[in-house]
Amino acid sequence: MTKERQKLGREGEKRAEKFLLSKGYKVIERNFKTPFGEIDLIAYAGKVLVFIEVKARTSYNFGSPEDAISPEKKRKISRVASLYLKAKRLNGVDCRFDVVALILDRGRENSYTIKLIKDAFQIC
Amino acid sequence: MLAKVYSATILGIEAYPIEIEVDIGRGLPSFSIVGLPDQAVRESKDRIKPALKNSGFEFPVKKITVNLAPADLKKEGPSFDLPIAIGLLSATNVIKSNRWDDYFILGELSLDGSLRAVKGILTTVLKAKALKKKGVILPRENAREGALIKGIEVYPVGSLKETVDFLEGKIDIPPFSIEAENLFKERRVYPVDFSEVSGQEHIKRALEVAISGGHNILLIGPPGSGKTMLAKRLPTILPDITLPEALETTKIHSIAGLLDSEEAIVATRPFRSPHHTISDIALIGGGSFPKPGEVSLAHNGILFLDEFAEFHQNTLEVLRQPLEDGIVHISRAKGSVSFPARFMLVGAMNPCLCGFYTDPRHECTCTPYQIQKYRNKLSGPLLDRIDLQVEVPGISFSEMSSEETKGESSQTIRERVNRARNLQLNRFKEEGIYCNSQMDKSRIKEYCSINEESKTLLGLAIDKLGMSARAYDKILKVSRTIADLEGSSSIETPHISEAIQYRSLDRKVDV
Repeated sequence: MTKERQKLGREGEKRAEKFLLSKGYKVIERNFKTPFGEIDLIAYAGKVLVFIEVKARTSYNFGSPEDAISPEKKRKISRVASLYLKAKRLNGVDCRFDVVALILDRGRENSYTIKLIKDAFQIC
Repeated sequence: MLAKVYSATILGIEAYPIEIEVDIGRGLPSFSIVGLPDQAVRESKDRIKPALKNSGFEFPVKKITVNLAPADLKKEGPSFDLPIAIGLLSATNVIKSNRWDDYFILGELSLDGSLRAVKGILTTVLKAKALKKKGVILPRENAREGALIKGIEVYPVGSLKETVDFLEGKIDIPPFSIEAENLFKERRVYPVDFSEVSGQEHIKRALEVAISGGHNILLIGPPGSGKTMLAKRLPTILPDITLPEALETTKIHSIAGLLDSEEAIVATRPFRSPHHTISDIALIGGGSFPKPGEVSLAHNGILFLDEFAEFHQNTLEVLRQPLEDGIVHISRAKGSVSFPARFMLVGAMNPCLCGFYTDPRHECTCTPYQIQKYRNKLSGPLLDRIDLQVEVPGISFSEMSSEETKGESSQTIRERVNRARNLQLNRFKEEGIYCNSQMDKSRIKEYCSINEESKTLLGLAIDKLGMSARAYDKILKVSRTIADLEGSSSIETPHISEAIQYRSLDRKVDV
């Protein structure tokens, strides 16, 4: 992965977090890492624990960012999420998977589009 | 929250009750269906989700587990869509009443929440009745078929929303009812008639005898002699089907998905004519979820095999058991099922490879070996089960064009057939069989006694024409039918001599 792409990812996650805050989410974890994979953001939306995947792209040239989440990625996130629940002993909490999709225009600093997809997928 | 809904699945021609348990719990959102579902059942979650959404309900973001009990029985088909959706809605408290406990619910959902027809309704409703359920909630298209069964209420619904409103008591749906007898009276009008076939009078007679007694028949003749034309007109002279027979046949057709919603009942005897490339499984039934084959679809009717000798040898041989028993037993890993298959076999074939062996106007170009080989495609045991073997001669121009040879109408023939059948039904009232062809050795002894003159004639035929001993019983059975057609209570010598004529393969077996 090039430096450029890593930067894009971090940039996306930062903006997504800001956006979620404005939507009333309470972020409790950033980049929760395990040997199997990583979850970008974990937050509470009211009483519901939400696992959030942030996907950023610079243009629609290769399709929309939300379509770029592969079944493999979903499986990874599911696995990490259930591990998280076990690690934190969070039994009987309502959960959900959300996706934040961003298009960041590299030329201009503050021009971007952002979209939140609630309950984007189920565990698989 | 846990909810329970009742439905049924089909295995063979039997319906088995299924209890659908839906549990909704906290945790990572998931939707799993357990209890040996097949692909169509597993896919139902992808139909239920949009169907709920498009009907104005919310799909719960929860851990959803659906169990189809008993868990060891394989479940198949899309008919669980509706009961699972109802279970989900009651587990999330959208539906509060539990008045469906006494009902079977079944139906396939489309994405917009409306319902599609499902297979095997008749069997399912019968099962619901046997289990003393109050009623069955089913897709509107299936209502006519379901209502054939008396003594149980059938509620037709058009969509998921309508079902929910009905269960909640917001709307009232009157139980659907239909008069099976009325459906029955609408006799089918055939586009063909026996009067269109000119000449070939003795073949028509042979077919009439065969149909009257339910005898299997094989027509052998050169190409273009009218074998197929005659056979295609057989449905027009079949005896009327009785209601119990119609229900049996409808059951099978319903499971095979051959019934359309307008028809609702198989009101005429089926006539099946599969192509000769058919596989043995398609003919006899089978598959990993055993489905009825052509022999069962022809139950209580005719199985017509055109170009009889062109069928694969092993395909023909599998006919032996159903011809004998009138039932097919199919065993697969997923279970063993039986399908009824009491049909009348009508075969048509050429006498040899080039087709002209018996035609006086054409030279046959086959060698004796080729003819032998062609005939050997039909094994002895199979021929054993065919009572009448008739040679169809080529037709001459004068016969073809003559106006005078306009034959009897199907209507007239059918009346005679019905009379002969009624005689047989009376005779076998307490025997558990329906027609002369089903008589076994002891019954032949009882019902087919012949006088001395006939005995001499039969002895002569067997000796002089080189008939096999197996032909003996067949001749007696067929002559019984001929006597019935004439309304004669005893078998007379002319009846015997006519029956002897219908054994042409016995005479010609050594070419």
